[in-house]
Amino acid sequence: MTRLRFLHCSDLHLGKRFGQFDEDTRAALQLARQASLARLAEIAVTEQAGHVLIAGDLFDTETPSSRVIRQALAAMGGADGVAWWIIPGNHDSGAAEPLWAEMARHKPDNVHLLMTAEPVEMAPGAVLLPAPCLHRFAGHDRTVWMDTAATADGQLRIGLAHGAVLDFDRDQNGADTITSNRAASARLDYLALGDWHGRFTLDARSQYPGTPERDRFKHPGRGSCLLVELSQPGAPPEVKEIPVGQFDWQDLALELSPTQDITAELMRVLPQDRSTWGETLVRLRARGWVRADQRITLMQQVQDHAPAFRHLDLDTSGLRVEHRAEDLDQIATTGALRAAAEVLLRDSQDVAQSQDSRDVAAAALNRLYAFVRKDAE
Amino acid sequence: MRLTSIRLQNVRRFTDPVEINGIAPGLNLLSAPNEQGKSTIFDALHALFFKDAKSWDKDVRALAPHAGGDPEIEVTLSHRDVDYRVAKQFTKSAGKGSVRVWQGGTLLHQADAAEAWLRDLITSPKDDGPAAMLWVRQGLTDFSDAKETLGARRDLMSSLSGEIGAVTGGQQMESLRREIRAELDRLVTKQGRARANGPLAEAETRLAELTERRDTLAAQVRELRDQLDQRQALRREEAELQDPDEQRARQQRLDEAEAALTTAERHREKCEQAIRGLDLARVRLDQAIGRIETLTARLTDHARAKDAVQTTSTAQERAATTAQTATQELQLAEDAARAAQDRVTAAGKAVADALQAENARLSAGRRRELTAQLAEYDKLQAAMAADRRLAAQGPDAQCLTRLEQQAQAVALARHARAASAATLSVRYYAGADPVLTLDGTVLSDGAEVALTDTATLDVPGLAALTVQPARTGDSDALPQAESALAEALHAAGFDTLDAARAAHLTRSEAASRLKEAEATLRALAPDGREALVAKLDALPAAPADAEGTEADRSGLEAEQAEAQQALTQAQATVTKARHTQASAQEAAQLARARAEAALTELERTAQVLGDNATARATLAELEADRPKLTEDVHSAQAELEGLLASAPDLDQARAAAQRARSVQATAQARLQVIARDLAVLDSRIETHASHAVEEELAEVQDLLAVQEKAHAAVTFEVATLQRLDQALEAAQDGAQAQYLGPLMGELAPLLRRLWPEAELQVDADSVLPSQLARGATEESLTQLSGGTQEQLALLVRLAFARLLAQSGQGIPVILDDALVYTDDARIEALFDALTLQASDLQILVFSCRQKSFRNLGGTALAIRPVDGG
Repeated sequence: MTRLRFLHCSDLHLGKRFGQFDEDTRAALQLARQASLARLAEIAVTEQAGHVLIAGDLFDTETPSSRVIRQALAAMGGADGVAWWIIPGNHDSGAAEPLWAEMARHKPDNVHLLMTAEPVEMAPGAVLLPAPCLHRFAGHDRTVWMDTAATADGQLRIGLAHGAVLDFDRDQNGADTITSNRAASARLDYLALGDWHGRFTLDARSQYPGTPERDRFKHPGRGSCLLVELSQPGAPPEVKEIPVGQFDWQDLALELSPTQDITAELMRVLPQDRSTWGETLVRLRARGWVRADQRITLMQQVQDHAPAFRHLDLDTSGLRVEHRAEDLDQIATTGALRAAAEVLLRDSQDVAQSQDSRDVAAAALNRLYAFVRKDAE
Repeated sequence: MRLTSIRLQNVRRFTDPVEINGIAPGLNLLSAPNEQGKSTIFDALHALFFKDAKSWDKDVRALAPHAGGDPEIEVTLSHRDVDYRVAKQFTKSAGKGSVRVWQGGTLLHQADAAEAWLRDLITSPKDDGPAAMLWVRQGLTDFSDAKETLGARRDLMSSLSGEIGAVTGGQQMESLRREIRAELDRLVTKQGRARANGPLAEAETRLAELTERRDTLAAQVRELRDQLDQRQALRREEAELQDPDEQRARQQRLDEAEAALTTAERHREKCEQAIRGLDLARVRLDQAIGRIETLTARLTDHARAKDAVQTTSTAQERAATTAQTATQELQLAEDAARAAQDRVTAAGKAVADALQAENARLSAGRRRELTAQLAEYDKLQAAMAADRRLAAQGPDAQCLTRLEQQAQAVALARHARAASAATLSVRYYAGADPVLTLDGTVLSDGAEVALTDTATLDVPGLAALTVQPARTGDSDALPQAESALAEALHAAGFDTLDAARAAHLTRSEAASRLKEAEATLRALAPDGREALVAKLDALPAAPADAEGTEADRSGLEAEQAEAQQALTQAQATVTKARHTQASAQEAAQLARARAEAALTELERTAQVLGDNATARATLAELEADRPKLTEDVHSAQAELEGLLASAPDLDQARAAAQRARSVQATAQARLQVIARDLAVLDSRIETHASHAVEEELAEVQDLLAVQEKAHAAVTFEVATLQRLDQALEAAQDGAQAQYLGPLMGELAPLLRRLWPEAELQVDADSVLPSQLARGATEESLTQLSGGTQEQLALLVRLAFARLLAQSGQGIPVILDDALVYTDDARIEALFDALTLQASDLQILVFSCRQKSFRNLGGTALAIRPVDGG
C-alpha cells in the first residue's frame, strides 16, 4: 500500500465567544477560530495530506448556531481532495442529535461524520477506528472496542478518540479515561487523540495536537496541528507539528524585587519581537516586593505598552509594595501628610488587622505616594 | 540652629560662587534692590533643607542656571554650640545629587545619612515640626500660593490656614484632599452609596445586568439540555418500538393470546350446556316430589274437615242452653232492683217533709230576735239624744280648770294672809266652860285662830273685843282674787265653784254615756238601722202551722239510707246478670259460627280433592317414578363436574388477550406521540440553537467574571480613597489640635503690640482663623486691608517661630520682601516686634525697601562674590 499522510487536529471549539476580553479582541479571536479550518485545509493541500482527522470538540457547545455550523462545513467543503473525518467530543457529543442531524443534512461529500464505533476504511489499506463521544460522560473507556476490532491483515489501524489519557486536571472522575497503552493493546499504528488543548505526546503512536487556535493562557504559545505519515503497518509514525494559530498566548511571570530595574525587567520578560505584539495576548503576573516608586513605574510601563498588544493584562495580586522611610519622605518629611502616611504604613503591616484592611491601607498609601509624586512632577 | 554663612554656585544668576557671611544670631537684614538675587538665596536655602539631593523636580530644576550646571548650595551653621558645614549639589542625572555634612574638617555624614541629619535638624523633636512655613518668599507676602494666585487662597484666611497648614499638610494636603474627594464624589454619594451614573453605579448596574442575563441564559441552557435529553430518550424509545424483532414478538404474543381466549370460550359454552341439562333433571324431580306432597296434603285436609264439623256442632248446642239460663236470671234481678228503687223514693219524700218543717221554725226565731234588736236600737237613740243635750251644757274641762286656778289663787291669798295674821289662842282655866266666841263661834279649849280680818271676840260677861289685824303690803291680794273668782263664776253662769264643778260632772257623765251608747249601737246594727229592717223583711213569712210538731227526722234519714243500700245491691246483681247473659249469648254465636265454618271447609276440601279414589291412584304412580328422576339428576351433575375440572381460566385468557391488544395499540399510539413530541422538541431546540444560548452563556460567564473583577476594583478604589481621606483628615485634625492652641497663645501678645485688645478668632468647624477682633469691631480676615493682612501674617509666623524655639528646635525665620503694603508708621511697630522676637530667634529679613528698612536695626548682610571664585 502507499504511504498515508494526514493531518491530526482537535478541539477547534468553533463558536467560542471569549467574553473575558474587550469586544475587538473577542471578535478577532472568534474570527481566528472560524478561520482555522480554512488554514488546516490549506496546510493539508500544501502538505499533500489527503485527510484531516478531527479528534472531537469541533464545536464549543452542543447547540452552536447554524451560522457556525454552515461556515465550518463550507470551509471543509472548499478543500478539494481533502477528506475530513470527524468524531463528536464531549463538548459537542452525539447526544446533540440536532447538531449532528444538521451536519449530516448539509455536509459536503468530503466530510465524514463518525457517529458509531465501527471500523471505517478511510483509504485503501487504512482503517479508521473511531470512538465517538455519544454522550457528554460515557462512564467508560470508549476505546476498549478497538482492541477486538478486526481488520484485514496488512491494513493500517488508526484510532480516533476524544478524552483524557491521564486524568489531566479535569473535574470528572477517571471513568472515561482512555487507557494509556491503547495504541499497543489495539495494535494501532497511530492513535489520534483530542481533548487536551495543549500539545501532548503520550508515546510515539499516541498524541494530542492541542487546539489549532489557542484559547487560554494555560496552554501558551500558538495553536498547531500534527502532520502524520504512516509508511506501513507496525512502522513508527512520522509526526511533525505545524503551526496553525494566528494568536500567540503568553502567560508571563514577572518576578520583582526592590533592587531591580522595573523597566528593564519588564522588557526582558515581554516578547522580544515587537512585530508580533499585535497578535499576542499576554497575562503578566507580577510577583514579589517592589518599592512604591517601582510600582508606579510598573503601572506606567504596562499602561504604556498595553495598546501595542492584542491584550495585556497585569495581575498584581502577588505583588506587595514595600514602603521605606525615604518613600515616606517623598510624601512629606514632616506634618500631617507624613503622619497620615505613617499611619497607613503601620496599618498595612499590622497583622492584627484583616488582610482586606491591610490591603486597603497599603493601596491608600500607594495612592498617597502617587498623588504626591504627580504633584511634584 | 542658626545660619552663619551661605554660599551658592550655579544657582540661577549666580553661576559664579557668591556668599553671605557674618550672619548674626538675632536680627539680620539683607537690603538690596530687586533682581539682586535675594529670592534666589531664599529658594536655594529652601532646596538645601527640604529637597532631597537626588531630586530633580520642578523646584530644583528652577534653580539651575540657564547656561546649565549643577546647582551647589553650601551653608555653615551652628547647632547646639557646634559648628557644621553642609553642602548639597543637585544634578540633572537622576539620583546622582550629593549632600555632605562636615564638623570642623571632618566629613560627618553624606548621602542618605546627611539627608536624615538635615531632617532631624529642622524637625521638631515633638514630631512633625514645621520649618518651611517660617520662610516667606518674595511675592508671597500675602501668603497666597503662587500656583493658586487666582484661587481662593489669595486672602489672609487662606494664608493663615496655610501657616497652620504647614503642620496640617499645607496646600498639598488641601489639594490632595480635594482631589480625593472629587474622585470619591465621582464614585459615591456622601452617604457612601454609589453615585448615579458614576463608575461604581455603572459597575453595579452592569454586574446586575450580566448576572441576570447569566441566570436567564443558564435557565435556557438547562432547558435546552433537558430538551436534548428528552429528545434522546424519545429517539431511543422510538427506535425500540420500531425494532422489527420487537414488533414481531408483540404480534406473536397477541396471536397466542387470542387463540387461547377462543379455546377457553368454547369450553365455557360446553360447561354452560351441561349446567342447563342438570337444571332440567332437577326441575323434573322437583315437580314429581311437589305433586306427591300436594296430593297427600289434600287428602289429609279433607279428613280433618270432617272431624271438625262433628266437634263444632256439639259445642253449638251446649252454648245455646247456657245463654237461655242466663237470660232468665237477668230478668229476676231487674225486678228486685225496681222494688228497691220504689222504697228509696218513699223514704226520700219523708225526709224532705221533715226538713221543711224545721226551717220554718228557725225563721220565726230569727224574726223575733231582729225585732228585739230594732226596739233596743230605737230606745238607745232616744237616750243618746238626752245625753247629747246634757253633754253640751255646763263648763267644759278648760273652763273648769280656769275656775279651779282662780279658786286656788284665792286659797293662796287667803293662806298668805293667815300666815301673816296674829293668832288667838284660848286656854280655859280648869273647870271653866268654853264661853268665848269669835264672831259668834265658840272657841274651844286649846283653840288657835288666826286673826286675818277684823273679828269680834266676845267674852261673855265681860266684854266684846274687836280685834283688828295689822295691815300688810299685800293685804289687797285676797279681795282681788276673790273678786276675779266671782267674776269668772258669773261669766260661766255659776254662783259657786261647787255648782260649776257639779255642772261639769253632769256634762262629763253624759258624754261618757254617749260613747257607751254609740258602741252599743255599732254592736247592734253595725250596718245601720236600715240594714236591720232589710234583714227582717227578707225573712220568709211564717207559715200558718209553723209552730207545728217536730218530726223524727233522724229516724227517717236512717230509713232512707237503708233503702238506698238495698237499691245499690239490687243494681249490682242486675249488672252481673247482664254480663253473664251477654257472655253466654256471645259464646253461643261463636259456636254457631264455628260450626258453619267447619261445614264450609268440608265443602272446600271435597271440592279440591275431587274424586278421592282417583287422587289416591295418581299418588301411587308418582311415588313409583321418583327413583328414576333422582338418578337423572346425579348423572347430569357428574358430567358438569368433569367439564369444570378441565376448564381453562377464561378470565386470565381474556386479560392476556386484552393486554396483548393493548400493548400493540399502545405501541402504535406511543409512536405517534413520540413523533409529535420530537417535532415539538426539535422546533424548540432549533430555536435555542439558532440563538446559540450555550455559546452566549459561556460568553456572559466570562463577561461576568471580568465585570466582577472590575466591580471589585471600583469598590476597592472607593475603600482606598475613603481610607486615605480618613487618614489625612485624622492627621490634619491631630496636627491642628496640637498646634493651634499654643500658636494662639504666642500670637496674642504680638497682636496687641500692633493693635491693643486685638484678638484672632478661630472658626470652630474649620479650626482656622476666621476673624480679627479689634475692640468692638470684628472683621473677617478677607475684609482686612493688604497691609493688615501681611502684618498679621508676619506676626503669625513669628509666633510659630517662637513656638518652635520653645520646643528646643529653633530655626531661622527668613522673610523675603515680607512687608510691602505696610506704611512707615506701622512698620516701626513691626520692627519692634521683630527685634523683640529676635532676642531668642535668628531672623533674616530680605527687603528691597532699603529706605524704610534702614530703621530696622540688626546686622546688615551683603551678597559678595567669593574671593578667587
